[in-house]
Amino acid sequence: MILIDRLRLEYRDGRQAIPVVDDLHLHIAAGESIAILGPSGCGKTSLLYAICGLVKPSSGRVIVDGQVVDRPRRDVALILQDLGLLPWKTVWKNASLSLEVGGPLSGLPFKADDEALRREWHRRRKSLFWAYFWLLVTGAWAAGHRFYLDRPFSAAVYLVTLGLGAIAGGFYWSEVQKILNSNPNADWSTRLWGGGWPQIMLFLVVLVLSSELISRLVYDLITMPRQIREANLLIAQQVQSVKPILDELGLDHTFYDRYPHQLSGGERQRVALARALATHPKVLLMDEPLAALDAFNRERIQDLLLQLWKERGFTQIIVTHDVQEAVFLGSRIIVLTERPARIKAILENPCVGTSRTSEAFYEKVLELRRELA
Amino acid sequence: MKRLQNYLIGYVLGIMLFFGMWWLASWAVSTFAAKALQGAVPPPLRALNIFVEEWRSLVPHFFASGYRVLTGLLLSIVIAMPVGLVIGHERVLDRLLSPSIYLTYPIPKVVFLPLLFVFLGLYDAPKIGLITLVLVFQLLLSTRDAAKSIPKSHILSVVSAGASKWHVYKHVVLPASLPAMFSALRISIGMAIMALALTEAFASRYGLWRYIYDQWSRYGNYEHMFAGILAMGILGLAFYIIIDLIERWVCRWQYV
Repeated sequence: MILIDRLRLEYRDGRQAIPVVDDLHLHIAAGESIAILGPSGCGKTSLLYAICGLVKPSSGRVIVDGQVVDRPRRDVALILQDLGLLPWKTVWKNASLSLEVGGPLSGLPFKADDEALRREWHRRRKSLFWAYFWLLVTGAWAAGHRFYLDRPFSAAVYLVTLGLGAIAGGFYWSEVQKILNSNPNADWSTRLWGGGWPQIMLFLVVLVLSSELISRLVYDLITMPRQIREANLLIAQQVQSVKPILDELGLDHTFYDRYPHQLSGGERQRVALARALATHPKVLLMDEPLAALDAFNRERIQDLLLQLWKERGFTQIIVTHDVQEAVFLGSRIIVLTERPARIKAILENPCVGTSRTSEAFYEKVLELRRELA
Repeated sequence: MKRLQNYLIGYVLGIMLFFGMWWLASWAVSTFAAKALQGAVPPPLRALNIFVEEWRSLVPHFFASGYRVLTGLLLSIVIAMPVGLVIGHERVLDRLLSPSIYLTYPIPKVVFLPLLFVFLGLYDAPKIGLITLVLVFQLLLSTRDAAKSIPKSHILSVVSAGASKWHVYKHVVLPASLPAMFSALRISIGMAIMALALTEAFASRYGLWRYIYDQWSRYGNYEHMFAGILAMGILGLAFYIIIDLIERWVCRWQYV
């Protein structure tokens, strides 16, 4: 599934290149759960970024699913250390962000057999209707992008363009009137740009703005069926894939319209998980995601993660500081050295997901602690 | 509803406080100032009375000024917002353009007034031009700084989901810098009205400053002058309220 092939990562500090990860070679099979342990600042985060395609390796390569990673992929999801939830988006929008940004998923048709799902779908359909209505009223929309639901911003762009055009047109018209006042029989070229360069500038502004508006109108009219189809599909997929995962993570509809700062730490964690899993990724990368939680919440989220991993069968890589977390979640545990990070030890962990109170669990923890010391 | 009530109560109390202070000032002037100057600060109720009586003649001045400020404001937003966002987000452009911004920012834009009059004529264009010129830099700098200080994780979380540049701007850079833009806008309303008063001193028939100046210099009519000042205050207040309301709607997440 994932092949990390003699990977070397560096960051530049002025002239010299400081190696962060050096000559790391690792093969990860599909459905494995890898826990990565290592001293802080040893380059674990950079390693994750490289697997995700956010950082270019200076030599070596990362291959996911048979393809060399050179940019972020749809089927690799990343949860950052501070979760990266956007404070200006509600829980629903945060959770469906990856769908919204990447567009509809292929091979996920809409089926409305669940009653709750259908209700949600109709609720959103209604706002979609008003969006279309607004589109027809304003004539054009969409600064070249998909629109749907509550997106007043592109309408604002349109209206501002229209307003600017009106202002510029008004100025231009007053210039023409001045010419006509002084010379009622002015010929057309004098009327068009007889006022000198201010009038030519105004004419150009009016021309550009109006041609922009007209071309956008034509573009929107031509592509409207496609836009509507895509918008429909996207909403359907949001409802279909975001709602179940939010349900599964215990965030019901009372949470949908809240903002991240209104949630507790554990709930925020769940939203981040939902966002990562909404697109049904094959690989889930996590960068110390539970570090900020208290012990009680952390264990509950760990249980949740384990359950999701078993159910959905994705490959996961967890960077962590917590030895018990590594033993509980990692089917293979990788210990890294000080910077530059190399592999110090690889431990097979048969007791992944066993009860935290069992003997075997504690023996494994002890073994890992000896390895780290 | 409760919030709106608090909002209104705040405004009413503030206006009462303002009128109280004004009344105190007018009392002090009429009591202690020289004989000829005793009418210079009329009591607020008197000015209000004149304002209500004279509102018909004030309306064209009010709308002439309001139109200039509004147009300048819109123009400067349209110019400064995209440029500020792009400069703040793209390092290379920042390094390229910031020096020239720093060079032109401290110059008082009023010095360009003659140029504006020469190139844009004598009507509304140079007035709107000056207001735009004053506001653009304010908005540009604060937008740029806000776009510069976005936490890396916000951008990474969108990029790792496969976002294009446009998506990054739309989902992260723009909303992240909206609050800073609104506060810059609020600060610059005052500057816009100041610039407006300056430009209306030249070649204008309508405008609140024109009204105030005429009432003072032609007729020595302090009460009418204060009615004009009151109208100017109301103009500013209207802008503040509108911007507040828009901010409450656009930056909803800050008010829940």
